[in-house]
Amino acid sequence: MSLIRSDLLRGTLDLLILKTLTLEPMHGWGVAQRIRQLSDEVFDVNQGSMYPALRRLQRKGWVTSEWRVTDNNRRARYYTLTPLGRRQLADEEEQWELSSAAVDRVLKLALQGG
Amino acid sequence: MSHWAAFMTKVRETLRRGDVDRELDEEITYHIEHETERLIAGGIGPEAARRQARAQFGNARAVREQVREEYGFAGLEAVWRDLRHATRGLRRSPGFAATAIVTIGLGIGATTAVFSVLNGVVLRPLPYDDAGEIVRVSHTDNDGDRLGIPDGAYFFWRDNATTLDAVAAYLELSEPLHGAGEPLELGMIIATPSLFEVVRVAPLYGRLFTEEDAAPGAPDVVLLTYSFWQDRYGGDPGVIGRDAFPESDMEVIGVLPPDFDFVRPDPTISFGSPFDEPQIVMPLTMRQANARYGNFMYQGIARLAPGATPEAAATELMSFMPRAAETYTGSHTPQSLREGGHRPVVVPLKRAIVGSLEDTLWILLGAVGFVLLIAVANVANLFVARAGARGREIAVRRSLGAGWGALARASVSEGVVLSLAGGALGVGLAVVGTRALLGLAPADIPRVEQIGIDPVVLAFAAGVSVLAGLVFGLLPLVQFRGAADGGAALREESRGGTAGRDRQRMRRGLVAVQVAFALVLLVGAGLLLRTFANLRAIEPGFDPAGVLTMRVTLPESRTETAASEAVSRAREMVALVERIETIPGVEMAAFTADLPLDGGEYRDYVAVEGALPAVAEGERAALEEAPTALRVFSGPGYLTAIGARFVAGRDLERGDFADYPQYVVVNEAFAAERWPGESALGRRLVQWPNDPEQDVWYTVAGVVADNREASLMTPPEPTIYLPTVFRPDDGFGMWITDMTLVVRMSAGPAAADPASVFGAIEREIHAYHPEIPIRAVQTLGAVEARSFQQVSFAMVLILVAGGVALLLGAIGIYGVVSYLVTLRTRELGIRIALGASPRTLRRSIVREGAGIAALGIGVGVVAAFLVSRVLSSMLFGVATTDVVTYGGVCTVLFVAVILASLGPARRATGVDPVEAIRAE
Repeated sequence: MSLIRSDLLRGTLDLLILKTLTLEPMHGWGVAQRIRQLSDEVFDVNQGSMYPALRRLQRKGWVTSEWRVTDNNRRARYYTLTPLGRRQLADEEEQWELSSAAVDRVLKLALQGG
Repeated sequence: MSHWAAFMTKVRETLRRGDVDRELDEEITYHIEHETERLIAGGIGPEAARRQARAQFGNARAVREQVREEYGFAGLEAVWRDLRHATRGLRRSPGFAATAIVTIGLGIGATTAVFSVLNGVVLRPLPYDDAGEIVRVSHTDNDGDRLGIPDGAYFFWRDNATTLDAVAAYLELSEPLHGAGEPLELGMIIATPSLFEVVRVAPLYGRLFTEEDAAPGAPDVVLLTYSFWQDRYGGDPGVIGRDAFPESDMEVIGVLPPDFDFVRPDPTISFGSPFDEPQIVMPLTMRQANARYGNFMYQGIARLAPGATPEAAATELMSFMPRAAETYTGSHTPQSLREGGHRPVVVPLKRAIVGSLEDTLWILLGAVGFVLLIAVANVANLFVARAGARGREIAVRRSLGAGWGALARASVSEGVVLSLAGGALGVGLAVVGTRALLGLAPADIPRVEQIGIDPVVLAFAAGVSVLAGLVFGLLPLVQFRGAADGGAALREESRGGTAGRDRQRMRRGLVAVQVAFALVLLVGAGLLLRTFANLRAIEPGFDPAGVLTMRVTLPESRTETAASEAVSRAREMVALVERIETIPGVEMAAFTADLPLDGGEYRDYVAVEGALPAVAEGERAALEEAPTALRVFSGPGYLTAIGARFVAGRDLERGDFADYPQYVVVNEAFAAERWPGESALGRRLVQWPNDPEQDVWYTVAGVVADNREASLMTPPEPTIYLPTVFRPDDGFGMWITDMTLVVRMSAGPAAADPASVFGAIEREIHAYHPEIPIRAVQTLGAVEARSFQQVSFAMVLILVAGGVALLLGAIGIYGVVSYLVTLRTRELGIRIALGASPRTLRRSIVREGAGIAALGIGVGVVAAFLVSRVLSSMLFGVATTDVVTYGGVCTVLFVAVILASLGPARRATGVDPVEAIRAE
């Protein structure tokens, strides 16, 4: 595959955000927090990069956003997965499984060979 | 559906960017506060927590930029940012930026200047409704003469033509107005009222004239042109309803708008004497019952029917000719028209006004376009060199993941910023340049008032700028296309020497292109230079130095004598001339009706004694069997005054004009044609042989060397110099009112500057009669110079363009060869250390320059062969493939290239071998 690294990273982050939003609508900080927790702190990505990614997903029509008032009475922007986003996530997950399975196989073969 | 929603999100966000920015700030603030709270809850102090939250978030500003990048509709946002980055970057290398801006500014300035002239003169529509539909209609015949339209044609077309919506006939007249107590000559248009259906104008004041005003017996009415109304009536609207002139019985009914300027003096058709601009417009009374298909004396102007083309109109009018000639019987029959090759000519009005200048201007635009291309190539070269200097930086950025697109965007942004700055400079230069251009241009350039910097010109300059910026922003990138990954580029860059092979090839190519362009321009300039030299070498047959000419019109005869009015007028002219000869500095004075090279040549049937064509009883057709000759009406001493050389006999003398003159002067060509091998002196000829009973015979008094009459380029043809006065019974029944005075100064200051004597001449003329109008004051030298004005205009411009091109090309060669020397420093050092002679080294460096030049010259010669064809209509006595020109230009270019390479070559031999080898 001829993806350059940045595209790979970007794609992964998008995937993680979409996956996180399947649970419930969340604001940016919440998404970052959830990714950190779900990945056992492995994906402690630069939190700032969350926002361009959210904007990108919104532009593609995969998420929408609205301003809501939080429990402690403050304004925050909440992001919601759209049906289109859900379909996209399904596609990507499938893609991801296929390719990671392939990588797994290669790694195993390589280990056996080595 | 959600695609549509996404699109709308983007549009909305672009539209309310301010809000979005604020919302993002709020979101970021919220995020950081939330994270801070989380950290505090985890047991960290508030200050430390805030710091840590900020650190985790990363660079908020970068995030903001990235988010913006994510929306920004149509990338406008990004373009603006790129341009700002580029400007910042360029500010760090001011030398490079200044060089590029000045170079490109010169190119754009020159191109924009020429374009603004072209735009004003050619491209801008005439100021009338649907002006593109207005055409000038005239005729031509087998002799290539330009003829007007007969009144019969006007009526026939008006009643039958389907390709013409409206047609009008008019006359241009110039008449002295007497009784005003001041010299006043009125330029008049006398036109059918349908003129205003063709040229749809609304009167500024009052009304236009109608068919009733043109009916026979209707009271005289006049329209004033705007400038005449301003000059003479002080722009007073109260003039409507009054007499135009004291006791003239001509009522002013309206004032025309300022842009009523379609009429240009057309000396080849003009019925009266030509004038600069019309002052009054009057209705032309034509009776359909009297109309004839005879004299082609009216000017025709028409409006095409919707969808009709000038060609279609010409075809239709041609098909009408036989029927029209039968309907309006006159001196022409369908057969005589066919045999004479008469055919209508329909030309768009703008083309008729602008004429051949249009072609010249397009050629000049092409020439400065070449200069612009050379300038672009030069700046592109700078860019390539700069990319080379920054090769390492670029390689590093690429290996860090910067895509080709990002590099391209940066480079193109720099290019566009530079070229826009250059364009701004160029527009400034164009303002100055246009003025300079008009100083050089032929004096009677039409529509000159339309020339200026308008939105079209600005759009042109901006478009050219952006295009140029794209070219030299993109060119340097071509060298990176091959390098698949940044690593390879980086490795190559760090090795140094071989790095810029692509780059070198490109720089050489660019310089070769410059040399080729320069060659094309110089060939054009060379061809025009040779044309100019050929024109200058022509012996006009007269001596224009120290001769002043001016047109005068005598008022009605004051001397009541037994002689006819014609003779008494001639006597008055002689009296006037004798007064002028009393002025100090004046050697002699004379008069003529036709100055040489001044437009308007007339040919008549001329028969010589013993060779009279057989004239059947009362048949005019026999006329056509007499050979024609050019006919010039001249007063006594005219040929002597213009410095013509007499081969035999004498000039017409004042004594000949005491009564009807009996003598004529012919030129050598006429004598050789009619009396080959014999003396012409004392032989007799008759003009327009018509009726043996009444024909007036002239005796040849002298023979002059051949003059150029029609134009410098036209070879002399048989010419007779007839006296300005002739018997009223010779078939003309008219005399000439409008004369050109020719005043030759004696040697000294007056001869050096003939115009300096004008004041004294004017006083003398008005002392003779205060109402004699004086017009068209010009030296004979100026009349002659006009013949090659268009050629010299184009020549000077293309020569300047070629010179600039040569200079830029030489600079390009110098730069590239210098760079090559730098690259080869190590090799040169080794060769010097091994004992190579400086001469060998120099030669090897110069060979580099010569190689580039040879390539450029090769391409340029082929291009010049193809391109120079557009000049052919301007050339005289030189072929577009002229070997001398091509050889000369190639030599000049080659020498320039060698000289440009010599500097770097000398530096090459100065290389210190120890330094050079150690340097790596």
